[in-house]
Amino acid sequence: MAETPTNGKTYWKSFGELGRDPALMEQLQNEFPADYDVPNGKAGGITRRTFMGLLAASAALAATGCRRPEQEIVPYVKKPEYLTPGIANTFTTAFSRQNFAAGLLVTSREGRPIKIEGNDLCPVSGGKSMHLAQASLLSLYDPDRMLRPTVNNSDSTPLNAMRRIADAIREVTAQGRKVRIMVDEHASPSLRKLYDELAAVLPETRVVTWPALAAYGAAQANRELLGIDAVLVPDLSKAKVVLGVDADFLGTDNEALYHIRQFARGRKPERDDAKMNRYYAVESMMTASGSNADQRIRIKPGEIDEFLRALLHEIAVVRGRGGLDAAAISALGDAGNAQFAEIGAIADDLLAHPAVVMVGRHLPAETHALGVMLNQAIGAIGQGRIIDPRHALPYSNDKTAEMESLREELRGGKVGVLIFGDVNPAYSMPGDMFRTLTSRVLYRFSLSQYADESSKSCSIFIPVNHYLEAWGDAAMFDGSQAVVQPLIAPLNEAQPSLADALMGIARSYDEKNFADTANFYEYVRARWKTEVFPRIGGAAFPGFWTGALRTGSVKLEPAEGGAALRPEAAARMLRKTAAVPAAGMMLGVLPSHSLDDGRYANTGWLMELPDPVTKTTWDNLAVMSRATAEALGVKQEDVVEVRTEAGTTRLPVFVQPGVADDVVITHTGFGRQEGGRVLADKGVSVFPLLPAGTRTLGYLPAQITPTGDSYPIATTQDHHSLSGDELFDIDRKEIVKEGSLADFIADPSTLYRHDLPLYGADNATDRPISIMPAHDYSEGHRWGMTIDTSACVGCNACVVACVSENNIPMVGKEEVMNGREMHWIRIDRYYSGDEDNPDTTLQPMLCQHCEKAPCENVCPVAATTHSPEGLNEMTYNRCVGTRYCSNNCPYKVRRFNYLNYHEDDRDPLSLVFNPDVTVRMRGVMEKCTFCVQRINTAKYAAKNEGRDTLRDGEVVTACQQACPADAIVFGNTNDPESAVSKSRQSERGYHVLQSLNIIPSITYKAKIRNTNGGAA
Amino acid sequence: MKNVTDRHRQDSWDVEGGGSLAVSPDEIREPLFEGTPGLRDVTETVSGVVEGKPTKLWYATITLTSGLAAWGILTILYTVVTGIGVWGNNQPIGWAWDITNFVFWIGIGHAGTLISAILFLFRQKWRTAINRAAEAMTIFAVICALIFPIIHTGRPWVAVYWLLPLPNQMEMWVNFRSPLLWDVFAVSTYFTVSAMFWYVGLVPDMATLRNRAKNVFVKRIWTFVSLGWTGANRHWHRYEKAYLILAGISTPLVLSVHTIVSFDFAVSVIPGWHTTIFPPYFVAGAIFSGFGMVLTLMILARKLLNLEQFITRKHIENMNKVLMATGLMVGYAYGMEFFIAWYSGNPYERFVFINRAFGPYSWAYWTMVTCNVFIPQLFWFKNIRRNLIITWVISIFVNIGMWFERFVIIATSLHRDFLPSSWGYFIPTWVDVSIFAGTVGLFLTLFLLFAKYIPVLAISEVKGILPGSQPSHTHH
Repeated sequence: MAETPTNGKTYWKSFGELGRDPALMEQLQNEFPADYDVPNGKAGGITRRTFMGLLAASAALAATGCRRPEQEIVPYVKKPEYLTPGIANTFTTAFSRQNFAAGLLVTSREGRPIKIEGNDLCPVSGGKSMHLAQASLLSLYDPDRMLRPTVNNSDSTPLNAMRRIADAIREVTAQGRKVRIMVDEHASPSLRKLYDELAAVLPETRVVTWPALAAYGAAQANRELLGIDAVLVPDLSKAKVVLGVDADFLGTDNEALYHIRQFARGRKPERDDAKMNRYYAVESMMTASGSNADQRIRIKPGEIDEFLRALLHEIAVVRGRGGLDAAAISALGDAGNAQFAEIGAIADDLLAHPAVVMVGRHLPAETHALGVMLNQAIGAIGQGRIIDPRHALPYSNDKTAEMESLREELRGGKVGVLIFGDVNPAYSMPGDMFRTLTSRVLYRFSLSQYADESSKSCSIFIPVNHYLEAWGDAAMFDGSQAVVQPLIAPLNEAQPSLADALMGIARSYDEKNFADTANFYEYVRARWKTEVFPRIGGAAFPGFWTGALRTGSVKLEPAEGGAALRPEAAARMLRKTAAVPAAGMMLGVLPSHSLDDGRYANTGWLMELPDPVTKTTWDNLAVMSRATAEALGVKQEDVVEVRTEAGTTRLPVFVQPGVADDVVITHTGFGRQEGGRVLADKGVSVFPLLPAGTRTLGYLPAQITPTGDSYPIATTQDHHSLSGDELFDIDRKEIVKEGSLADFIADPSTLYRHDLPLYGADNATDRPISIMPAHDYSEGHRWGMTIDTSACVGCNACVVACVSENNIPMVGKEEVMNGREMHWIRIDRYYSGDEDNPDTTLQPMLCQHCEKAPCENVCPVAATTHSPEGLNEMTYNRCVGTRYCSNNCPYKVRRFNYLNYHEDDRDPLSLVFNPDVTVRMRGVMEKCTFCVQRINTAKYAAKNEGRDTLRDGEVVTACQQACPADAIVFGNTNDPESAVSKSRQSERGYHVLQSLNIIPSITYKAKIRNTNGGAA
Repeated sequence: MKNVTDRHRQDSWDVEGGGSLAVSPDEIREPLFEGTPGLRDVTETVSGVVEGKPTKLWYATITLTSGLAAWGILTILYTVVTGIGVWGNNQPIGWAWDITNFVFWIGIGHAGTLISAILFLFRQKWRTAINRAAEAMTIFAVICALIFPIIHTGRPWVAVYWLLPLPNQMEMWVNFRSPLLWDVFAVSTYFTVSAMFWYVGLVPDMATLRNRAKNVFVKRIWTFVSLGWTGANRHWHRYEKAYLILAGISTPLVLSVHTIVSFDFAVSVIPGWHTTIFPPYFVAGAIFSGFGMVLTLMILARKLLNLEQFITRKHIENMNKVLMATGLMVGYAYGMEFFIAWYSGNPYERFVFINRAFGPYSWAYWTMVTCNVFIPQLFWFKNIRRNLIITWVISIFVNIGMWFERFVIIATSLHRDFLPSSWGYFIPTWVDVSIFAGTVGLFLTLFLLFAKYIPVLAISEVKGILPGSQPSHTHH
């Protein structure tokens, strides 16, 4: 440092250094003393060893404390053969709605089901599915499904709970009391077999079918008159004339899926193929089916029998058709048709064409008997005819006797153990029958998916599986049988299915019971091996079984069997008087379109599904005609008190065109109190209004009194008819186009007047007067759609399919009232003509993917743009939410996330999301994408095969896929051979709001009404 | 046309000289001030407001208005945190109070620009007494207006910069076809130019205040903001040129800003919006509403700040004339919209207008017509034009009417458009009301601050029209 350099010169830095101050020198030597910061000189601070120690300790701390514990993730050692992350698999299963089952195809991603569709190999569903089946997916992931069994309100295990039930069975049977198991209607042969066996292996046990919606008029009439104790399923595709008598066969009926498919086949007339069926609706209520009628006759409930008698009189007596014997004719009496002017014409039509009479499910046996006699008279019944006696809904026999006998037993205190097998009688029994009947039962046990009203009244509750988690099977009315295979292991591990729980109870009672079959899967498989396999034949059962699982269903020919009218029964039935009084105010209790008997009440997709007729959500209503409301002095949303012999309740008034006067229609399924958060306090239950008994559907006398209160109703569409308000007198022919079949055949231009060509000469869109540049679609795809408003029956299948496919949030009643429902596709409903009995036109409305889209040019951030394939695309991440696009959309099909609607989703609801579709946050606009994710998936597959263009039918949008009426056609309009290109050539085609010249990609086809007077 | 400046000069001489000259029709024109204020009076009166202590009334008022503004800001935060769903907007009414308020406030601004720019270019000397306040009002109104385009978006945190054409690595640009983007340019330009114009006009007055300031700290502030103004001839020369140029730039803005705002509607396809009459109609409406607001505020300020000498009934009457003229234009537009709706034969258009007048929102429509067309007809009477109280009341009606005009255009056109299936109705929520009230609070707070801390009259300009301020010309 301060050493003398060799050159002899001394360099110094300071005087101290120069002066060789010893203290300073020492300091300089120790430039970095170890105890520099320790005044007392003790070597402290951090030594090398402490430093290393600390380093190691903090590394260990970092490794353990601030990171998740490391876990080895081992990829599939054996990868499941068909499971590739990101690639969807589909599996077959079946959905049963009471006795009506139809095959499903469920899409599964990474092991979780995300979309339900119909199985196209199933003869009944034909690849279609309706709203209930679609929405059952959401109920699989319902967070309100119970997880743990409870015994006397404390948690237990399934095994323990079953043992306790078995103990109870032993106890009560020792006292000479009976064991009764209440179950719902079903379509499963294996369940039927299991129920029979249970009755055999458990002492004093019977399984009683007691459905919430009990209406056995059809089965009773068929039994009496034809000797078939079942509901027969007509094939409407064979009918040229359909007379629906208060029948909602396209709406709330269990078989609606099949009926819509077959009915709609006859609803797509083209000029070169003008075949079309004709549908007369004779109704008291306004049914979803009746909205589609070519001619609708509005009569009171008390007049329904009169009408049918008059018609039968006209056909059987006046026209001499129908094979009624003298006794029957005399019993029919002189039912003149003076009251109903239309009867002559209807009788002509029924006799001139293959025709069928459909009678409402809720109507009593006497009315159904008239229907059967009419069908017999017009030749509708017979093997190969419209009503084929072999096509009966399985197990749809009249259950009144067994229900009545259970009722007697309960009343007599003879039942010791009552088990609810996934039924909810505490909610659905008429009046206060549940309380009075079950008060003398020693033990009540519940096997149910939810802690519902009935489960709450039970001492032991075992939660059971959803059908997508359980094995089972189903028989279809055409004789086919399907396997219900689970799509996923029970979300709640070790949770039994209803069948497994019942088997478990039997096994707990005596371990020898069901010893051959460890579980219901083996039980079903064993039944298929012994009962189904021999009827089909084949090499070996395992191959047959996997084949059945793959195709979903096997076709079994139904047993041969004709049907002949029993004349003596006809006379007997005709002698009975009408059950419905002809005068006075009547209350019609009918199934809800979306909630059915209330079992779907916790499924948001269904709660928020607009009723096809009233377009209301979330509530039960007192639906009445304008005249009735005026007579009562009430208006829309006023609350009325509905009083019957059994009870009273309060309902908000909904004034509905088309309803008969002096009738109030109300629906089941609302007003649930227990079992979930969605269903709680939504509407009021109508079951307490019903008189004690076993029937829950139909008309009954009631008193309606205004209360002076009012209650808000959440509708998605107000009453705006097209001819509408005289004040405004607006010509809106550009929106819906309709006409009669005769006019259409004579001159299609009566339906519309195209001011502009629909498409350019080259099927492109080069048209005059637009400042917007044209898009070039000379290569590749150009997506387009047609929607046939003539075929659409407004069943809502597309709406739920779209919700499921596109992760669309439900917003709740308040938000629906705010006008913020999120459905990307909606069924617009327009009335015209007579305000009390209007013609209805339905129009599915979704993003039109306009060529010159008004939304595209106004978005300041270019978040909505035109794709090279003609799609109007939404880029969610770019959207800032100005809502300008929505304002400028003439169809108002854009939907804005006003709030974070998915925020409240509880686990495991997020599992229901389609992983191919973004879940949108608040502040973002969204709308129909033409299922762009499906287009892209199809393109990947095509690319792997070396193709640039997709074949027709490779992309099917969710709405199109679901539509039972096949009203929606989607495809590549650049391909002149594609179905959509051909469909667009229809002379019924038009663009909604064509004069705006924004050139939508969707072509609507005009609604044709086959009114009488035209060719049938 | 006779030189205006000369005329006023003559007036002044007349007053001072006791009217010795023969009286010509021009010369009986009313003076633009009351009494005989001298140059010093102007400085004293105006500076006195700035230099004095705020009154109790001022404190009380600003507490109220700033409280309102704070409440508005809280509700805006609530909206941003929760979502637009806390408002009443829905399908089909995507815009309601948000854009109504935006257009309302932008419109308010127009009077200031018109007074400062166009009336300046037309040498309307009466503007000098009110231009400062009117320009301040413009700026505050535009600040209030600017809040809405940002907060009305669903995701304002991205909207604030995605709405600007900023270069980015994704080469993602704004959509230059969107009228909303044109708005961004138009309104930001408007704000910038208005602020500059106002500031330039303030420089000589701020120098005056600097000169008078006793507190060192206050003096420093005035020194800084007055940009070294000395009142030198060269300064005055540059100043006059700059002022003229800025007036020139501002003049087209009076027409362009609201024209472009009207494009938000006119460019759309929605009946009731898609109308070529909108640009002139909106501009006339904007000036109408702006003068309404100027009157509301100036009549109060005149009284509270003792400016009766400088803001006379003559000023009020002149403004009332503008109000009536633009009110008639607006009324003409209302009528013409109906005529065209009928004459065009377009059923949707026709429906929208019938629905406006007789549909569910007819109450809003007739409020608008009453406030904007019927009530201003009272100004045909000179007594009423010069009656301060009646004028003030009418100006309030005009403010209300013009807010409703925007609401009627936006909400009633949207609530029932083409497809009856998607018709709806809009009901505001408490948040809608709070945010609007908040902007009113903000506007008034800013105006109160201005009225206290910044010269409310353009001292130098007012002096320019006082007797003795000009070099005397004995000949004329």
